Amino acid sequence: MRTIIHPAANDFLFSLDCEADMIGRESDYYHNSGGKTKADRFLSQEVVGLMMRRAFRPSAAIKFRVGGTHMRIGQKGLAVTLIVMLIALSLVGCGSNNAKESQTGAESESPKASTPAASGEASPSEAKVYPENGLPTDQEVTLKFGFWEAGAGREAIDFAMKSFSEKFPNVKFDTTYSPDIFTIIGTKIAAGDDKDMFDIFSREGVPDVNSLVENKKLEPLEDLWDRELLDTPGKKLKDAVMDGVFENAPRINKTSYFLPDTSWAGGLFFDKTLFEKNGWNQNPQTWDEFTALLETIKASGIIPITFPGVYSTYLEQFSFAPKEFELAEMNGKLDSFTSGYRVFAQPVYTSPESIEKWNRIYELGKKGYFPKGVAALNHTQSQMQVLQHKAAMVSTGSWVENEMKDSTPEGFKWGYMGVPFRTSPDQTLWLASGLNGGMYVWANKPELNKKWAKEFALWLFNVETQKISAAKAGAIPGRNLSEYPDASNALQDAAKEVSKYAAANKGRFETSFREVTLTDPAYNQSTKTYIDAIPAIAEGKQDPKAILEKAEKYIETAIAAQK
Amino acid sequence: MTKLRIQKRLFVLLAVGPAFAGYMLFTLYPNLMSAYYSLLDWNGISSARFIGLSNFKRMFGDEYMWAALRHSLIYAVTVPLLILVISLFLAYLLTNRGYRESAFYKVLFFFPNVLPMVVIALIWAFIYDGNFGLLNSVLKGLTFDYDGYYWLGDEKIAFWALIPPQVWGGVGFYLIIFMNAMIAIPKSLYESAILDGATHFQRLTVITLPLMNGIIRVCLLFMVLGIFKTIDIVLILTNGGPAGSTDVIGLYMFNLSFGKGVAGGGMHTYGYASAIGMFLFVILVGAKLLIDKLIPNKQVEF
Repeated sequence: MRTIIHPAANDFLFSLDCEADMIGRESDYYHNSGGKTKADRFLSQEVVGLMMRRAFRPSAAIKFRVGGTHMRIGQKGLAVTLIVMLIALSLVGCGSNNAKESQTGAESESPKASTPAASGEASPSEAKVYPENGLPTDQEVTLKFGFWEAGAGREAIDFAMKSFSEKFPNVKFDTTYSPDIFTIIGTKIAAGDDKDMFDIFSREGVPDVNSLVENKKLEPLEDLWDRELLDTPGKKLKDAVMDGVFENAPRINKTSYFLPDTSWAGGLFFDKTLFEKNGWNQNPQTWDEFTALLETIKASGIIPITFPGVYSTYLEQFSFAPKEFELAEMNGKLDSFTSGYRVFAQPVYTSPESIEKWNRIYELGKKGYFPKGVAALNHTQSQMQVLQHKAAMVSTGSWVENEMKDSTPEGFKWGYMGVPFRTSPDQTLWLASGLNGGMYVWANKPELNKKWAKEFALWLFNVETQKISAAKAGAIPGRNLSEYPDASNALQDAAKEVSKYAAANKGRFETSFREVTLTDPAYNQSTKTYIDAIPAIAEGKQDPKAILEKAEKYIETAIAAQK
Repeated sequence: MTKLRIQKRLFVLLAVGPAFAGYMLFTLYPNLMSAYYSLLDWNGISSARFIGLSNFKRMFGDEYMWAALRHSLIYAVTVPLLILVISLFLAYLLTNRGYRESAFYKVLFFFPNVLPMVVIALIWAFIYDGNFGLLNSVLKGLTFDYDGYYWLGDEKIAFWALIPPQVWGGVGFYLIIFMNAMIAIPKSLYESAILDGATHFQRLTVITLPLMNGIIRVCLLFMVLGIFKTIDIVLILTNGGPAGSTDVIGLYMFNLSFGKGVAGGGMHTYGYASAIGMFLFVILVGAKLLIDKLIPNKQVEF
């Protein structure tokens, strides 16, 4: 699955935190990435190297002057001493490795698991169980939780944890919040220490989920779809979610490993007030109408579309990625395109759909519809341009309202549109979306921990938690809240606009996920090739054709390496 | 074994032991491990596969790596030279001209050094901003209208625009070191030079600089090695863009191992990144040897 990340879906201070965090942990990275020698390390190496050379030089001896007497130690003595230390240390190293392995193998040593694993059908000896799930009330469980603290903030998840612990007082959370949680998770995974690993963690940005599943590191959650909701007994989860969430939830080998409790939509976000004032078309139906709108906006001296060039994927990922599906459907080959897309069937970048998509971006670029020098803009700056009416629309996601709420001027009303590639309003309009929220449950953990983790995943679909995350995090609820007007009114404007727009335009949401992961470095190079080129394409300075061909060559290498 | 010999051994063990153990555990071991990682195809999740020197083979044919290395090399030459010249000049001014506000200037110049590199980067992001940037405002005051021009958005400019922040962030630290080195030079040398009629410039080149040779050498070494490892400021200001024109070797390596789908595909390729790390290690050793060669280590006693 291609991980969908909006690396900087957080406000200015957040990004500051995030970067600080990143840099702060640079030294940790070193141990994994290797070879990045620090100057001081370099010097100390030099010193020790000198020492060693001296120690092992024939007939050399080191003189130590202690209290006026000279101690002379032959080269052999020192060498032997050092070798003994080396062996001792390596034994220590091996020892700790072995210990780690034995932990992994026998998790039953952990006190939590030593108690009989509580199964749904409680054994008769266990009297005290919760009626909702049959889990014991008297066994304390602390869930280690790695939470991605991004534009959505932590208020909503804090509410969910608090209410969960109130309902099930024996369950506590030990939460690590970080805007850069993927790095922490990635490092923990690489370290391979199950005991130290989170029980549950945010799924955004977790690299290479397919490998994790292949190696049985993640707990399957498919059975939760058939569970009754914790706040609405009698209603199964799969019947309570929004249309399409159950059917389209990303699965690996037909199994869900996370439950998308919220979602986001990508596209072009704008100020309705500005559009109304200028009489601009807020809902262009076709590509021609869309380009006419951009021309009108440009003629009025405002930049039609902006995006963060520093994270240039914002343009492609949030507004144009699903257009390949739209083109395929218009040409009547949606099915074959989709099945190929999911598994990286070649051509990936030079498919007719992909070339057409990039050519249209280039076409807009040549007409000057994107800002000059866009490569310098980060996400906050580009979104700021829309708030200040320097640009009319910004390519980003529905979290933008929450992210920019502190800077939004009075009278500003968020509006939303997709980029229509279609030629007639009868055709489907494909929109970028991501299923958000949800979390993975680590498989190598005590049974009871996993059970409670799964209960918590279910808890996030409660009306109250859904309402709070819509109101406080700007999320689009995963649960169908139409029966709960109070909760659906809690949606923020941008999220409401997205639903309205999709309903009015035969909108279809596409998460652009892949069922295959390419792990060869050449895959990174292929994405780097086109991502680096996006600002130049959007400024009309770079014909996408050569770039796509180059990217295709890289991905060909990556696919070949996979086999 | 005699008692004395045992005592001697014990003493060596106690004296060298702790430091040596720490060095092995925290320096040698990770370094050796990354040398080993560089021979693997490993993403941190699935089991590692030994692929010999394939990573290195790939690396030498990797145009992105060479481009990043070229950028790093240019920075490693320009930035240290600028820092050196500016901080030496300022240090000389502050030590030899008895300004009443010298102490204040010292604090002022040192100030950027107190800031984390992240903050420096963000300050400069605002200076270079096209809409409300300080630079454009200043230029406008001087009747040059660059309104709406994003300095970091232009492939040809962005690369050079990253030099001032790095220099600004580095000058303060070396200024303090150079000032203290200058103060340590005996006044009597200058007094006799002044009596002999030496000018300011002569005193600088004949007395001050030669006597600071050792310190300048070490500082230059730190600067060059530091520049090769720069990640933070580039990551924040441009993330290697536009069009890869500011990608440096450290950042490329970082994105390969920890990239989040921004500049890399979001895959963690520890093996390949380690191979680049190993190459960087070789380059750093090379740079160190080169500096040793270029600036002979003449010890001066005074």
